[in-house]
Amino acid sequence: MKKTTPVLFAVLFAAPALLPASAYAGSLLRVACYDDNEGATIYINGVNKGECSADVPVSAGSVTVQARKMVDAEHERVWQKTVEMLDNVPKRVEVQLSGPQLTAAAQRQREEQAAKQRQAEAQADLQTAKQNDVAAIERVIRRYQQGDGLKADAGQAKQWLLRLESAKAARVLAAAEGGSAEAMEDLVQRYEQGNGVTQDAAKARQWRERLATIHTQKQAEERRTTLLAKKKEISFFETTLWAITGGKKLAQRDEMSGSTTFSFIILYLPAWLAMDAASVPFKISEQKKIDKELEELALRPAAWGNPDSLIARAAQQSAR
Amino acid sequence: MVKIFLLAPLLRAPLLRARLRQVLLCGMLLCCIQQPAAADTNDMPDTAYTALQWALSDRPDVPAAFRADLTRWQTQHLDICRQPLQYRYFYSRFARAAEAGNHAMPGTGAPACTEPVPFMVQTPKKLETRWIDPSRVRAIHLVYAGKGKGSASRFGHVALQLIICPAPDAAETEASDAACASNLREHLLLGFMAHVDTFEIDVLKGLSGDYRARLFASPFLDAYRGYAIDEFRELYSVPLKLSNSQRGIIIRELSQIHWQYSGEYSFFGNNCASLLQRALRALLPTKAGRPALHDKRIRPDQLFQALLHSGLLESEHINNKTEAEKQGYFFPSTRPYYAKAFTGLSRALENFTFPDLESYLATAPVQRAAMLMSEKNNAVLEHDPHLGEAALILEELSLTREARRFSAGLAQMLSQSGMDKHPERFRARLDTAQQEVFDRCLLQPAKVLADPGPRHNGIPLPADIPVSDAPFLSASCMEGDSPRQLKAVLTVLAKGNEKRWQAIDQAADNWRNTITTVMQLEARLSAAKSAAKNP
Repeated sequence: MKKTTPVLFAVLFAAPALLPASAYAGSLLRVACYDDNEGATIYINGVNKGECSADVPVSAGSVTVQARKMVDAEHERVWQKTVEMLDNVPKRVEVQLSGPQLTAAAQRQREEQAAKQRQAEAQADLQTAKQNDVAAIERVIRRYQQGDGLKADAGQAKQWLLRLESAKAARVLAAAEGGSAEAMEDLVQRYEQGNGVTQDAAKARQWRERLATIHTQKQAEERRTTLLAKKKEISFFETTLWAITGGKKLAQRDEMSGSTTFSFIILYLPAWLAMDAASVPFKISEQKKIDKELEELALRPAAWGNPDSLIARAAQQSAR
Repeated sequence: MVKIFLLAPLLRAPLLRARLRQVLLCGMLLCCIQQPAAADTNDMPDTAYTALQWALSDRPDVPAAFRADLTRWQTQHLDICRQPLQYRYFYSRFARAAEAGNHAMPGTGAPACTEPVPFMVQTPKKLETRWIDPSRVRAIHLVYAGKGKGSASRFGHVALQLIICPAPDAAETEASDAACASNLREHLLLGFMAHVDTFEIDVLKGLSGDYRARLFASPFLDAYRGYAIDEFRELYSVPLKLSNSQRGIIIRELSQIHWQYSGEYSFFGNNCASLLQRALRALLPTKAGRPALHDKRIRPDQLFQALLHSGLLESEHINNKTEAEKQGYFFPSTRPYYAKAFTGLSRALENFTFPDLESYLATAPVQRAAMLMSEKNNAVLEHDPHLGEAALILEELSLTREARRFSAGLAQMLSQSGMDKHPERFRARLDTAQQEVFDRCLLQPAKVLADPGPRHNGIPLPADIPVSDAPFLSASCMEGDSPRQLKAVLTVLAKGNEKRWQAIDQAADNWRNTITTVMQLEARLSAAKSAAKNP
């Protein structure tokens, strides 16, 4: 044996050189698969060459090797490599399959399904848009612009764009009627510019005036809320003081006025305790503001009713 | 000489010599003591002195007081600045000017008392001492508050008004009569009233004289507000006919009565009219004989009418009420003004469906506010400041009424709780922290208010007048944990009175809602007026 092995190797390696050229042009490509890559189907330049591992004779030049192994009906694992083959120079590649991915067929199927879905949605949007639903109209416009579920159509998109403004205007009008200041502002602009509505200066003015009223009311309401919060802090004390004022004067009347049966003594009591349990700090500055207001109370009715009266002059003096 | 010569033998008798020595010694002593004018042999009080004492007390011991005052006068211990009533009496009766320093009557050439005089003025928040310079008082008016609706107010009320001028300007220019008249904020009202020391007025005590009567001092505008606004009563303010010097003296004497007089208030017989009448007899001694100052058991309306026809008042000022209102001699009930405001609003505002003023005021404040603040009404009131002010004054009227309702409810509840009569029983129901707050914030202020204050023998010195700048209700009662503790105390108080407490709570809530509307309307009115001034 010893004597024959070297000779055998020499024959094997020399054989290609000893064969006539016309007998074998190209080389041998060994495609190896190990572990879970085994069993993959090999494709050489798109032609199925059987299962991996395999030795595949190939021509010299650029050779695309693919390996595919089905995972399930829709998923496969794939591998691909391009090898430059030289004549009489064998090469070896090892397959490393990818993670599972959709097969082309499955991909196509899914895309077809998605396209059908988009078309169905587009039709639904179209129906809703015909009811002047603003969001649906916006979607229909985009679909026509992008060909998404609907065949791309610039003309249709434009038509729906016009209809969009009209639908928006209707929505804004409804909100404005409901008292929304923002909607009223929007509506003023629309009537001024004819945006979604017929241009109408008179209506723009009407809504402008209504908006001004809303703002005043809002300010009044905000002030009321602020005042209420402030008054919670001090008006309880004020109630006491007012009670003191009224009670003192009434209690010290010469005549026991039938309308008064109480003494000033009780009136120092913190009246806010009767109202709210809030423990509030006493605000001297707010107190003074209300004091001033209450001082004017004595002079106001006569000053208002008879501007010629002494009371009116006294009120003017204090105003100065 | 002849008489002494003839007496010579007698002088040798020891007994006679001793007796003569006594007589001579007494005579020498008597010469050193200031003696009344030779024409006066009467060391008894007369009607003028009696009237003086009756202005200072309900049950004066006139002879004893006279002896004491005479001694003081004779020993120059009667101080014109402290007891002006007595000083003036003794000076005019015995026609003798005091010799010491400043103690001299005006017009004698010697300096007179120039000190300002104090009055303890009851303001809404506190008692405060006001020092009045008599030279700044332009006039003293008699004030009559007309008849009210209540059965007990049908006779009116009388008092005196001090027309106090504004402080002199930098150039020390004297204020005009008009400026003094319109300086209403400083005017004082002095009136005899009952000092009620309980939560509720006890009519029986008022009838029987169990309340102390005092000459109270209060801001005129407080009285105006109470009568003309709260009760829709008219006020007359008629000047007394006084010279400048008389006026100065009377102001000092009123201060003395204010600090010294303490009597028993009684609805019949010792009321504001009868007490004022007594005071006027002492203040106007040369006019004391007038019938208007002599009627007994007089009513306020009767006194006013009597004085109008007595020649003591400048009654002509109220012959024309329109002119009188311009000059400050007449303050009509404000009811017509409110009615006018109501009519104006009812014509201009939408949803103003109230049949009359009272039903408008009886409507819940939030409902009125919602109507006033509606979009259309808001616009109307904004564009018409006069109408806007009409809305404001009606809300302010509502404010005063709600305060009264609140006070009446609270008074009844507290009275029923017995807190004023038996505070210790009430205290026993509280825990330690509540007791501390109860004492500091409820009981102590009540005691201060219930205490009528000490009486003085004349006008007190500044050092004798307690400092009283603190408000009745201390700010500390609304800080820290005090509010919560006070609430707990009132909750204990309200047990068994839940229904009344609800009514009190409702009144307080209405008050708060109304003042919110008032502040809103006032702010809007200010803005509208500013806009009108700066278009």
